[in-house]
Amino acid sequence: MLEIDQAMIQWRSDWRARVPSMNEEVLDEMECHLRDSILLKLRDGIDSTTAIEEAMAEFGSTTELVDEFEQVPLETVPWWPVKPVRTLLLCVGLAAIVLITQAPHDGNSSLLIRGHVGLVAFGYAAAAGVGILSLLFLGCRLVSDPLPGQKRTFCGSSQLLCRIAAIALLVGVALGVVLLFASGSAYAWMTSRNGAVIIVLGWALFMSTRFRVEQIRDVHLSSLAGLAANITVVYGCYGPVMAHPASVVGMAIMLTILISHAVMALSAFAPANCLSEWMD
Amino acid sequence: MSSQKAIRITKDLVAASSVPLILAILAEEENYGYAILKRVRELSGGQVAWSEGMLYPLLHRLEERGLIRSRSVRSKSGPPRKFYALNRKGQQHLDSARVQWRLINNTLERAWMLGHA
Repeated sequence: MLEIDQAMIQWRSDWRARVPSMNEEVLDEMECHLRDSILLKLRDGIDSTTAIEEAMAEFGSTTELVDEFEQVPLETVPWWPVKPVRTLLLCVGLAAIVLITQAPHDGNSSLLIRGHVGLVAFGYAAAAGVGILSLLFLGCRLVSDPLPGQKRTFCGSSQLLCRIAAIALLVGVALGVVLLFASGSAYAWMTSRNGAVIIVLGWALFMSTRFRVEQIRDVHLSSLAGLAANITVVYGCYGPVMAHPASVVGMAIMLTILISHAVMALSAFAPANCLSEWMD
Repeated sequence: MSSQKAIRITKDLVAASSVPLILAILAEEENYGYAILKRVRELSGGQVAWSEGMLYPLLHRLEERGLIRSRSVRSKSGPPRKFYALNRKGQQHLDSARVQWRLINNTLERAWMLGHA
């Protein structure tokens, strides 16, 4: 068995050396095949070295396989939930910006505060968009597993929304820090409870995992990170946000993010097509 | 293993027949790569032998086209095993392919009978 394990490790490293972008799931699948083939030969009484060599030879040449895999079209296929989510985000973003810039402010209001609030709100809206997309993805998956191309569209759109959220939040937080130094008070943060650092670290964790999303299992992992990040955000911002006139909208966005990431993380355990199979 | 020697099928014929063959096997039951190949051998009496690795790009192409779907199942030893099943679109494709292949098969049979007459 040790010899087979070593042969498989060597075989995988050869593949990675030849095709660095090779999907790990495909390698897993092919390794399963080789192991089955080797085990069958061992049962027939063939010694392990010969069994491994024969199984590899029967599997075929790597060069030919690489050519075949390159011919598999890896296109993105339109997936309907992406359009309404993008439109919704655009509307929310514009509405937030207009509301904040046009609404009457008290004496302490300044361009810095409005910029900070506007960008952070937009960043959260973008993150909520990721969450809504995740929920729609899960809903679709329960009925009919999306095509690989549709999954790529979902991953790509999710990545794009995360980049928007990351940039908006980063600039928004930077303005908040400038505000802190300028006025000595942190807007909408209860530093006594956890502080901005935890929130920023949580978000950095979420964003860093989301940026690597290439496969659906990455989405589940990043959703777990997103869940952890958003728990800190809700915990840290609950008090100040509830005191703000737009508290209901703020909390609704936060809860959407929180719930959607929790559901998406849990969806890893929900079998695809289970609803349609149940209905059949 | 059959005592008959495996016939080397031309690449064009393999390419043309592999899709309906795989879809037909998956129409029987959900299955994984190695078992699909074993089933091909069984059905052909051991006479049709594909280059084993070539099955996987083909399965991925069928999945990209939405004809089949896959799910990973954890394995006690080694990496997770990927099972494939036929989709509704795949079933429709198989039904259509079955009609076409029967037509071609019947036509060829008749054509060869003419040659022997």
